[in-house]
Parts: sequence; structure tokens; C-alpha cells
Amino acid sequence: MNQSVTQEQLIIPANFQYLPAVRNFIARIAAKYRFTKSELNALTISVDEAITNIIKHGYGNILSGSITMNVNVKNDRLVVELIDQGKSFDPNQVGDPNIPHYVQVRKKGGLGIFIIRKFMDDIQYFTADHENTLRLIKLRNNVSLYSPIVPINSLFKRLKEKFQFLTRKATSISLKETGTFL
Amino acid sequence: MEIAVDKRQNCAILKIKGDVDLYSSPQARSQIIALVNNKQFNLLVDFTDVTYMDSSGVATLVEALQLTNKNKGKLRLYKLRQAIRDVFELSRLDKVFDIYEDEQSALHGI
Repeated sequence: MNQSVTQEQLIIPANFQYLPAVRNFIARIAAKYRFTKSELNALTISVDEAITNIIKHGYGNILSGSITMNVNVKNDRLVVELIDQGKSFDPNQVGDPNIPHYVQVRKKGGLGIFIIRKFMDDIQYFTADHENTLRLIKLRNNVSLYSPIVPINSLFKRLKEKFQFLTRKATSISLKETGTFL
Repeated sequence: MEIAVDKRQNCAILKIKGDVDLYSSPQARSQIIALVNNKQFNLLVDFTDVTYMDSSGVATLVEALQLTNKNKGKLRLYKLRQAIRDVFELSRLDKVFDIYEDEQSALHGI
């Protein structure tokens, strides 16, 4: 069920002017693999916001950087990996904005990551050999968690996965707080 | 992105066409600030032809909301397609903005 069906790749210079090209790339994949409108929308805005953050915070003033985008289309999930060689910027370390406060003061930043968190089911980030990988995971809508026709073992599997995401996140934060490096 | 401004007696309607993203949102921001500087404090934004909006577009609208509120005016959005509506709803910004189905209902009471 979790086998990779296919992978698509796009490599772009780390420049905002390539954001429309990224959106077009996702739209083409969505048409090819018949994503739902909701999946297309979630991936488009999440990848757009994530790449914006990599360019802004990861590369900053470095103009020669690049971003590799791998899209894995699986039966039960869509996985997008964004790989860069800029400064590490883990979106999981950024808290959610307080929306009423945000609207009052319009503090810059934070809204893009908040949007990604709302649209994606899991966000993973790791750095190795001077390379950062941001993994965005969207569980597919074709098997609804709440549908009465979902087989009980499938429902249990998805609940277990959701629980594992939360547990992993909590463990990661806890270890970071105690100074342990994962 | 293109913006056409339709000035009415008590409000201005901004008809935006295309993607509102990091590139184009400064243009929308300039247009909104120019209208407010000309004492146009009731603004309606027609989303019929808005194909995409990212967080920079949302931030521009938040600034517009602050400007209109500060001047006792109104900012109303209408005809949002589902993808854009999802951004507002998931980020709970639909509770902050006045969102309408169509122009007629958005104009009501202005």
C-alpha cells in the first residue's frame, strides 16, 4: 500500500522568479496522476511557501543556490522532498502565529509555515552532509479516515500513523530541549 | 496579475486577475494604499479571476484590513474559489475577514 508508484523531479535556481514554474510543474503532475483538487491545492501552496522560506532564510543573499524537488506519488500518500544546500531552517521549530494578534500587528513571517502545517499531514526536516531535506507528506484523500466503508485494519493503520507523527514530533522537541542531538 | 478599480459612490471595487504571490502582492498593496490615501475607506475585492494566492497575498489583505478598520471603513472579499477559501478557512482567517458569495451581497449595507 505504501509502495512508491513513481517519482518526478525538478531542479530550479533558488530565485523567486521560478515559483510560477514550480506551480506549473505541480499542476502537470497533478493532471498526470489525477490528484484531487484538494491535493493539488495543498501541494501547490505548501511547496510554494516552503520554497519561499528556503530562498529567504536558507540561501538569503546567496544567488547561486539551487533547490531540488522530488515528488513521490504513492498509493496512499504524496511525498515532496525539497533539497537545498543553504543554511538550515527547520520549519518545525517555528511556532504557530496567534491569528487575532497577527491581524492586529501584522507581524512579518510565520504565516507561510502555519499554512503548510494546516495543509500537510506531516513535515519532516533533516540535515546531512551540508544538505537540508524538507519532506512534506500529504495522505491521500481517496481513503477517508472517517468513511464508514474503510476497512477496520486500514482505519487502524492510519490512526497509528497519525499517532506516530505526533509522538515523533513530541520526542524530537523533548530531546532538543534536553540538548540531545538527533 | 492585473488590477482594475471600479469606483462607486461609497466604495471602490478592486477586480484582481491572476496570481497574487510574492511578485504581484506589492502591486496590490500599492493600489490599496493609494485608495486609502485618497480617503476611499470602503474596499471590496472581487476574487472571481484570482487564480492563486499565497501568504504574501494574505498579508497584504491583513494590512488592507488594518487600514480600513483604522479609518472606520470596511474591507469585503467576494467570489473566492474553493482553493483560496481553503487557505482562509484552514488558517482561521475566515473569522477575521468579511467574505461574501457575490458582489450584490458584498455591497449590501455599504
